[in-house]
Formats: sequence, C-alpha cells, structure tokens
Amino acid sequence: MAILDIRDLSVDYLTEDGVALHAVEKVSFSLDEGRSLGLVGESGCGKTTVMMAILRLLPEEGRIVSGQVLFDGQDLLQISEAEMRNARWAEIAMVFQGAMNALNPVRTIESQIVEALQLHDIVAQRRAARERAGELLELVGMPAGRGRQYPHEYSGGMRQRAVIAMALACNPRVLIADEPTTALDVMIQAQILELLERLQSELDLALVIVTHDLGMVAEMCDDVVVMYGGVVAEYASSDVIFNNPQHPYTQRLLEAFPDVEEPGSTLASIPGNPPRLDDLPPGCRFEPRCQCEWREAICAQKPPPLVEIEARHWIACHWAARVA
Amino acid sequence: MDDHVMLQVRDLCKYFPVSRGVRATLTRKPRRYVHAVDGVSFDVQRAEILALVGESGSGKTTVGMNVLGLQQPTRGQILLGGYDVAEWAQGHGPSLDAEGGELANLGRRRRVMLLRERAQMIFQDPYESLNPRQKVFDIVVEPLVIHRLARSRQEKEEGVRVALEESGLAPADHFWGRYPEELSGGQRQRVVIAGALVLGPQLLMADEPVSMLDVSIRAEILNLLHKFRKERGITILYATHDLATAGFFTDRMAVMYLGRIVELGPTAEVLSRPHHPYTRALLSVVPVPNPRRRRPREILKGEIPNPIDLPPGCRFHPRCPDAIPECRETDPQLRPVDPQHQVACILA
Amino acid sequence: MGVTGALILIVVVAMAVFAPRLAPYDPYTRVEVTPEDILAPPDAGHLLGRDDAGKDVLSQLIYGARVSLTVGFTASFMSMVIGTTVGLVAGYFGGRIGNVLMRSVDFLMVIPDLPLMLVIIAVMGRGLLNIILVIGLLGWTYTARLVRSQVLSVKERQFVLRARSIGASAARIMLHHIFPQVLPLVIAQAVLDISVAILAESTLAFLGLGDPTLISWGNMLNFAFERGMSRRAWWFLLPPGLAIVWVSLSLILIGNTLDEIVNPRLRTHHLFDPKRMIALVVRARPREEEVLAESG
Repeated sequence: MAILDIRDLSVDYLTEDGVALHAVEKVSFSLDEGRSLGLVGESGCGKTTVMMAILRLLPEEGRIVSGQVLFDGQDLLQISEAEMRNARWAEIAMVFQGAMNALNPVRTIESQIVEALQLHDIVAQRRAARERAGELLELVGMPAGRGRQYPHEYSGGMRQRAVIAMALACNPRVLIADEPTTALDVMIQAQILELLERLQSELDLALVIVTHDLGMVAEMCDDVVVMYGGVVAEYASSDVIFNNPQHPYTQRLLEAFPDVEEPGSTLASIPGNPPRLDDLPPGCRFEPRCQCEWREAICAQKPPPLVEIEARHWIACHWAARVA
Repeated sequence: MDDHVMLQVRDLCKYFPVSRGVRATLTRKPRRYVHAVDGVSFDVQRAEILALVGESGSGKTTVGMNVLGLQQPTRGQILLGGYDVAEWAQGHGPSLDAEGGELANLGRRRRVMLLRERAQMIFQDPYESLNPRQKVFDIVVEPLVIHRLARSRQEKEEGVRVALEESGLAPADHFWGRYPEELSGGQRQRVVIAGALVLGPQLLMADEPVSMLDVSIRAEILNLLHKFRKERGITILYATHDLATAGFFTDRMAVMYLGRIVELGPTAEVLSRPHHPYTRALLSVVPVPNPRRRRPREILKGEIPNPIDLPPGCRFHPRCPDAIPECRETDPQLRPVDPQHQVACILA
Repeated sequence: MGVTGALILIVVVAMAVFAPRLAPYDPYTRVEVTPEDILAPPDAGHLLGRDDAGKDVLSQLIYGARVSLTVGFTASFMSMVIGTTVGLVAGYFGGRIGNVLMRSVDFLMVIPDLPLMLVIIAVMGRGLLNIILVIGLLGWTYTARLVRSQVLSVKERQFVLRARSIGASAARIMLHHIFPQVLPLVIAQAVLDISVAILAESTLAFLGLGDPTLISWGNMLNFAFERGMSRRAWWFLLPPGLAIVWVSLSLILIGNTLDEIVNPRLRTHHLFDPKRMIALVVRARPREEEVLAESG
C-alpha cells in the first residue's frame, strides 16, 4: 500500500571542476496512502535535495546516480521527461520552500491557479477553470472572491494557503510541503498545520513534511525520517523516534529541542558543524560529532548501512545495529 | 534610585506616521499612525533575563530599539541605570545628571558613546548583521576604535582576542582573518556577540538571536548568553516568538500583543498557569516534541490586525475565545493577579 | 564582450602613453611645407596623409588620444567624486538636506548640457582645464541619483543598524559601511561617464570651443570639417571620427559588462574576490543558480 517508495536514492552534485559531491546517499523510506511522513534534518542534510530528486527537478549540476523512486509501483526515474511532466503536479505536488514569496506579483492569485489547471489540461475553458480556482481557494479556507486579488494584498498566511491551493489544483495523491511554516507567525503556523491535517483527511492525501522543526513533526506525522549530512540516520514511526530513539544524532537532536512544557530544563547542543560535502568523512557521517560512549574504530572507517533493527525501525549506526 | 533595577520602562509609546498620498494631505484627513508600541511599562533587575514574547506587530523589537536609544520614543520614559535614555542618546546636558554623577562632566559626544558602551544589541540574522566586506577582526575591533578604548596594535589584538574567545571562537587568530561568508551561522552569531561584548555592556538586547540557526546550535548560543549573565552580571532582554526557547532561557516573561504587554510574570509561572487568553492560546499551539503529548490546540481565528487601526476596547477582543461584550468597551491595563504576575484582561 | 572593450581601451591608452615613441612625427613642432604638402593624401611617409597645415595626420591622431583620454578620465573622476558625495549625503540623511540636494540635482539635470557648456566656455575661455571643469561639474548628476537610490536601500540593512548601535558616527557609517557597497555601481557608471566626457570634449572642440593649443580629436574634426573638405580630404576627417567612436564603444562595452555584474539584484560581495570577479567578467553574466545559491 505504499504509494511512494524511495529505495537507495543517491544524488550527486557536480562542481565546475568536475568533482562529484555526494550530496545524498542511499536514502530509503516509504509513504503509505493517506499517511504522513516527516523528513527532518538540519541545514545541509539533503532533505530538499531528496524531494527535488523525487520530482526530477534538480538543478543542472544535480545528478541522480542510483536508486529508485517508485510511485504506485512505477519507477519515476525510468520514465520519459514528458511522462514525468504529466505525473508532476497531477500525481505528486509540492509546496516549495518560500513559495509564498515567489508568487507572480503582477498576476492575480486566481489567474495563477488557472494557469496550473490549464497547463495540465485539467480544465480547458477559462470559465470552468476560474470556478475550479474558486473552489480550491475555499478548500484552503479562503473566500473564493479573494482570488481576484494580487499577492501583495494577501498576508503571509493567506499566501501560503494560496500556494497550497495551487499545489492541489490537479488533485495529486501525494503532497510534499517543504518548510510550510517558516517565516509565519506562531498562530498562523498552527492554522496552516491544521489546514494540512484537514486536507489530508478530506482528500485522502499522502503528506510529506520536510522541516527542521521536530515539534511540527511530532504533531503532524505518522512516520519520521531523520537525515544527517545526506544520509538517513534513523527511520521509524513518530512514536518510536520520539520515545525510543536509538541513533546518537536523533537522541542529541531531541535533547537540543526545547520543550515548552518543561521550562528551565537544560538544553543540549551538538558542538561542531555538519560535514562539508567536499570533505566527507570516510565512515559514518556523524562520527566526528558523535559523543556516544560506544564509538569504535569502525565508525570512522565504514559508513553504517541502514538496517531494520526491529519491526519498522531502521537505523544507520554500527553500534545500534549491533546492540539490537 | 534602587541599585538593583537596571532598566525602567514607563508608558513607552512609539508611533510611526503612515505616509499618505496627496489627496489625504489636501483634504486634511487626520494623520494615521502605526502604533508599534502603545503603553509599555516594566522593570528589569540587574542580571535578570526578561523575555519579550510576541508575534509580528507585537512591538518587541521596537521596544528594544528604544531601550537602546536607537529610536526616540513618541511618549514615555526609559531609564537605564537611572538615566533617561532618550535624553542620553541625544547627549543632552545637565538635566541628565544634576547630581554630578558620571555623566556630568562628559562632552556631548562622549555621553552618547557611553550609552553605546552600556547597552548593546544582538541581531536576528547572522547573515545580514555583519558587513560582508569586513574581516572578523575589523568587525570586532571597530567598537574599540570608535570608542578609543584601544590604541596600539597590541591593545586592539588583546581586546579582540578576549572577546572572540569568550564568545567561543578560539583560537582567536584562527578566525579573525576570515570574512563572514566563510563562517557558519552559529559562528557568525558568535562574532556578533563578540562585537557587542567588546565594549563591556551592562545590558544586552537579543532580538531573536537563535531563530535562524540550526536547532543543535541554538543551545550553545543561549548557554553562552547565560554564561555572560552569570559571570559578568549582564542584564538581558530576549525578544522572540519562540515560547519554548524563552521557557528554557529566561527568568521573567512579558507576552506582547499589538504594542502592549498582556501578561507579565516569572517565566515558569506564565508558562504553567497563563491567565491571559492570548498567552493560553499561544502556549497551546506550540508544538511539543512528543506525539504522545499532543494537546488540544486553541487556534485563534484570523490574523493579527494591523497596528494602524486598532480595535476598540481590548485590542485582543476580536480574536479572543473568551470575549464578552464588555471587552469591546474597556481597554484593560496590567493588574496583578499574583504577587509577581500581572495580566491585562478584565476576566483574569 | 567586456573583454573586447577592455582590449581596445588598453590599446588606446598605450597609444596615448607611448605617443612620442609611436608617432612618426612630432605634431607640435613646426614643419617646412610646400604647397603640395597641404592636405596631401596618404602615402608611404604619411600613412594617413597630411592636414591643412601640412602636418602628419597619423601623428596627430596618436597625440590626440592624450587629450581625449585625459579629459575623459579626469572629468569622469570629478563627476564620480561629486556625485557620490552628494548621493551619499542625500541618501543617508534624507529629510531636508536630502530634499535640497536632490532638487539641485533635478535642476541641473533639466538644463540642457551642451548649450550650458557652450555658454560657460565662451565666457571662461577656451582652456583644457576649463573644459574638464565644465564637463565634470555638469556630469555628476546622474551618479548622484544612482548613488542616492542605492544608499536608501543599503542603509536599511542590518549591518548598518549594527554600526549605529556600536556608536559609529554618520561619517563613519557612510564611508566605511555604505560606500563600499555603492562603489561597484559607481565604478560601472564612471566608465560610461568617461565615454560621455570624451564625446562632450569632442563636441566642444568640433564646435570651435576646444583648446586651440592642443591637438585633440575634436579639434582635428573641427579643422577637417572647416578646411579639409575643400580637397575632400577624407583621411583628415575620418580617423579622428573613428577614433572617437572606437573609444566610446570600448568604454560602453566595459561599462555594460560591469553594470551586469553589479546590478543591485546581485550581492556585491562577488567583486571583492578577484578570482570570482575575473570569472564573472569572462563569462559576462553570472548564472541564475549561483545568484540564488549565494542569496539562499
């Protein structure tokens, strides 16, 4: 029942000198129909790259070097560009990071939704397209009449809703939201998350949320993939990740996240920086910052494979794999 | 004056005129203002950390700018260490220090300089708050040069070294030759902190200092500020929208909405027993990192109204889940509900 | 594109600098001429023929570069300095000072340049210095406008606020923090201004208001037009005209390339990394992704 199944996806970026930077390596996870998945990681961990790879929207210097992206059983990496263009938006849609600031300022919101509809031949005639646009706006909680306004007349929260409406224009089965709430006020963030939840249940959407906000993931997602430095560190259900994390990075990350219900408790930090892509450690990518007592020589020598240590709980860590 | 009180803010108001078109000027329509800060009062003790919590339009940044003398209040008074900041920032004369205290015999420029030495700011965006053309050394030494606190090369190096290493960038000479773009976000923020520290301030205004940094680095920066409070007795104003970090980091909390403080009290208390409906709602929507603790969320409808045309009566009433008809009539002031805890709500 | 322009300019500058070595004859010394020499067409000894006084045109062309380039660079530099100062002060302080300054700028911009220059030169006299002054003092307005609008946006940036908060004076902020951000724009504009200045000098000289004691391309054009046309001496008329065109073209090419690089849309810190600067100049247009990545 997995609608999206990523297997061993690896992406390289080619620099001008021809050097291949291994931005993402052997990422695997799957998304079931109607469920939600959180892809969590800090800056530079490759989460956006993975999503762009799935939609085959990588920049010129990006290359998918291996792996499979199975959508409903079909490998999206093998189909032609024309077929991919059909699949994009109609099957899998994405709300890009900062999309709310990238709306065309000289066209009305409605016309931008209509454009999406017409490009995908969902609704050919303008009149019908405009009606559909109105429906979509109401779906995301805005009065249809506001479609005739311009982006600058919308507040931040409204723009984000408009962008979500655009993403839903072609009735996709999977919606990917990349940092859907950064730069929004706390209360508006809550509104947007509530909207996404409602849409998920009303439209039976499979939802992927890409974010650095662990709290958001805890609230919204059934399963969680924790990424670090371009690889998957841990992947399990939300309950397991938050209550029984096994990867040292996940553990430390949770300790670094302040809990508003426990004010004043100590907050951990992880000294150091994420690995530079042009200077990757030969072994585990987290090893230089790992303060786990059980660190061994192998951690610095061999990258740990992603193994299933218990039912539906994968981890990439030599120690955790051994202990399980 | 009580020696323990570092900062006193009384009825601070800051309004920005809204620019208007020719037609409005000609028809003599009344001027409109953005009521960025509209009657804020609070005290901060020496070495205390006070959180100014609010969403956009709450006025928290504007309060900070006025406390530092970077803006002039429209109304109200700010006393830093007993001296009126607005006058101080202009370098005004004897009225500032009739008793012959430390400001009395200084020249105008020197007086303003002293204010800068006393109160410093740390900014939100570590990618924008550093001049991209300056090396780290120049950035940190600049305050010393401006204030003539270091003359020789040696003095300058010493000052910069201490500031950088205190801020966690050691060895200093490893960093001081670099440009900001060569550093990570956390490192840049440390440079900003070093630049503020080098003057030996007594008050730091930290405006969202960690919101643009990775989660795993935030604690480091906040712990650093904690260290300064402990070791140097620096008083800190921490402006943020993030209740969770405010909870971890601060002693007292002021929750702001549309230019006013709606709740003020010890942090732990405000977070565990919020009285104001806005605080309550805000708290309920802060995501907690544990799926087992998903709580019912009180999501307010609508958005924060613009600070130009304020709602009548209580400015929160249009969105307040507990609003009663009377809320439209009265504009509540902060009143104590507990010894240390004040709330601006007629229902509290 | 910019590289082509730069190469042409280097050739012209070299020509001006090494004029005494390059020119076959010294156009400033008197020569004994026979009537056949007057407006003689090109031959082996005089590759571009001779002018109305029998002097070698090629040598004059080479020496003429000196005046044109001197006027061009000096006047442009003057405009740059005045314009930048006015723009900085008007932009940073705003308010009444800004208003007064910008209204003066508007005033000067409205007056047609050429007639004003003609009047001033006619009154002040025809000297090289006067020409430079007149061109420089009328040419700064565009730069001032440009600088002011850039300053308005730079002064809102957070590092300027930080400079204020550490106690930097207005002068320090303008010089130290704002000016470096504005400089690339000013340089790009200054290069184009050089071209304008050279054309202005040529025009003035052509109209008979140039410095009569010096050889400049404009002067050559003036004489060629007035006196050379009787013999249809194209070799006298064409070279200075072409020279002016070439130099202007080269400067415009360089200026346009610099303009593309320094477009405020991009972050300007590229320019202080020599490697990146060279790479950008060679490619003449940084790629979209680089810009996004840099700003991301």
